[in-house]
Amino acid sequence: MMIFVMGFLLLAMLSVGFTKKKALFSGVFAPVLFLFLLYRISEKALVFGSQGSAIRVSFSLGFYGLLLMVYLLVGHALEKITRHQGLLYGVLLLLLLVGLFLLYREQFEAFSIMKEFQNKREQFFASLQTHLFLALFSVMLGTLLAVPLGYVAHSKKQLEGAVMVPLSILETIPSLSLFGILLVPLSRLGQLPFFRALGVSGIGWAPAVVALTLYSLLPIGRNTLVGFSSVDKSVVEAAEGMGMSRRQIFGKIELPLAIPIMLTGVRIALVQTLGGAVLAGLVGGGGLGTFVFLGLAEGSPDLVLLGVMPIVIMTLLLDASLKGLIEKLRRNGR
Amino acid sequence: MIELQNVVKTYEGQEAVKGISLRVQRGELYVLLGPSGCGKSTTLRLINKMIERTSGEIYVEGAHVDAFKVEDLRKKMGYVIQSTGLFPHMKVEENIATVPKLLKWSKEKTLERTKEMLRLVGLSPEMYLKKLPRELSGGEAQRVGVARALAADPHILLMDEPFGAVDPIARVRLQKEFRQIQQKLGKTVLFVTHDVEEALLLGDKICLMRAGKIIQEGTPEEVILKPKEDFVKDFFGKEGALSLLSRYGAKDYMDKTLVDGPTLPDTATLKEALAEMVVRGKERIGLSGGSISMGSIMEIMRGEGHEE
Repeated sequence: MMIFVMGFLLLAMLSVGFTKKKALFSGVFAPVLFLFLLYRISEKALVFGSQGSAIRVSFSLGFYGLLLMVYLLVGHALEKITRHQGLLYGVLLLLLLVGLFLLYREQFEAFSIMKEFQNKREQFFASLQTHLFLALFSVMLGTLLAVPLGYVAHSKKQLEGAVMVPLSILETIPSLSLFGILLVPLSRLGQLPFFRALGVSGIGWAPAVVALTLYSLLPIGRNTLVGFSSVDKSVVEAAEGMGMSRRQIFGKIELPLAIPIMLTGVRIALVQTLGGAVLAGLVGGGGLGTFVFLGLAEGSPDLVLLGVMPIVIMTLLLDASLKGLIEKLRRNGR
Repeated sequence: MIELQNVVKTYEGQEAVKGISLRVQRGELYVLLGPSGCGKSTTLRLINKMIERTSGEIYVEGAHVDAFKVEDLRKKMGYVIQSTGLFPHMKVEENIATVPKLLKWSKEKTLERTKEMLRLVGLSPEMYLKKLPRELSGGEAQRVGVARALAADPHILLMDEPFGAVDPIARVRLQKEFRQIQQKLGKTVLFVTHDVEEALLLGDKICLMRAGKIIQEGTPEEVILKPKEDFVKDFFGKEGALSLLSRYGAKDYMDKTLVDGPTLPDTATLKEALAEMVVRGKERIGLSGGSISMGSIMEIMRGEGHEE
């Protein structure tokens, strides 16, 4: 107990007047300490848990607050430090592996959230899959639609308003109303044999995908427009003057220069859609939203958490990997 | 060789270029000079069809510009612009190799040529091949711009205020070096600038434009010493004559008289010699192995003025 109090006190002291060294140290120390704390709690929980099957051990608000602090410290360290980045990533990866190992060894079985998980294991993984599919498929569709739209808005300036204003308006429609709006046309569409075979109807995955796709259009479309517009005019002029064809200029100059900004749009859309896909649970589209809404209905915070935590983790992972990819492209001069 | 016959460019009823006829001889550095908005840049861009002319004829190397596909026409001419237009996502190497790649040269030939071009513009290939444009200074970037324009060995270079954005000290160096490169390679160059000094330093011929028309065309000596109208006189200003002196090397006009005091370097121009005389309050200034006098500078200019 004393160790943790002193450890977190030390961290709190370190957070005053950050330097790179302090940032690196707290970025490594905080998650280590946190995992250790989790381990110690789980030991106690296992002891409690063994005394009867009806006993539940839940985390209180303070625990999640602590988790948030650790996350902030690590995030700050990643931003601040310029050297030893490999070390920090290595430590984080190692901790993740240790955590997964403990999970695998059933160290955390006594926690209520794990009990909920064990009860609904199969449904959880099915929902996770659906959720990922809904989000990725929608963003993919959104990208396919919004990139050409953004490019048109860039190349035909008089069309910019005609393209961008509807996208902005779409973004302002609350999701519930959007589902309502989509109900009629989609159920009509579902009466056609081809779409019926696909499973399109007024409820289910179809309205969820359509809504999520529509919401992803603005960030992707706008960033495509900005990406292409930010290409220096003189660079395009030089390319023309050297005898590149329109197509070569697009493929070799404009597109590579616009891609980091375009991808940033995709990243924003993905983060937004991963969260937004929860709403699919409302219209029978499946996904982790099912757990969230079930948990809300039953007044079971653990069930809500079981739905929300994987979303948070997926969002962080996908966001970080896309960010890494974009940074890499940037470093190559784009 | 470039020839323009009565070329007109109209923008929404306004004539930006009002019937220009000129001829740039092979191997000549031809300067289009004039205040901003005089149509000099437009005239240059009509030649590689960055802008389509409204009427008139343009010939390049004896062939009408309309005889080529526009991309092919442009590949035949190097093009350098003020903002360099280097591709920010490509290394120096790839930037220079742009046109050779478009012309599908072999990899070995392209790389060899790229290195040769870097050396030509005074940058060491080892240091610069792999750099990105943002790692270059303004002067270095423009050197790469020139190397890129020369890469496919075009006979003609079109240069639109190429040194305008470079800091003054680097600019003078670039101008002098470019002059040497041009004389060595014998390229035909059409050079647009609004900078009187640059025009006088570089041009074999200067064409002064105003409001879309040619006011006077001739050698630097002609436009300075025999201006056709007041505008020409005003545009070059009183100092124009001094700039003219920077075309002449002091060493070429010295006599064997030895004088005391420090000597000028061998690369000194007549302008620098004259400036030195003013600074030191003497009418004769030393060079290695002799000296030059103010009298002989006057003599040279008098000779130039009456030659034609």
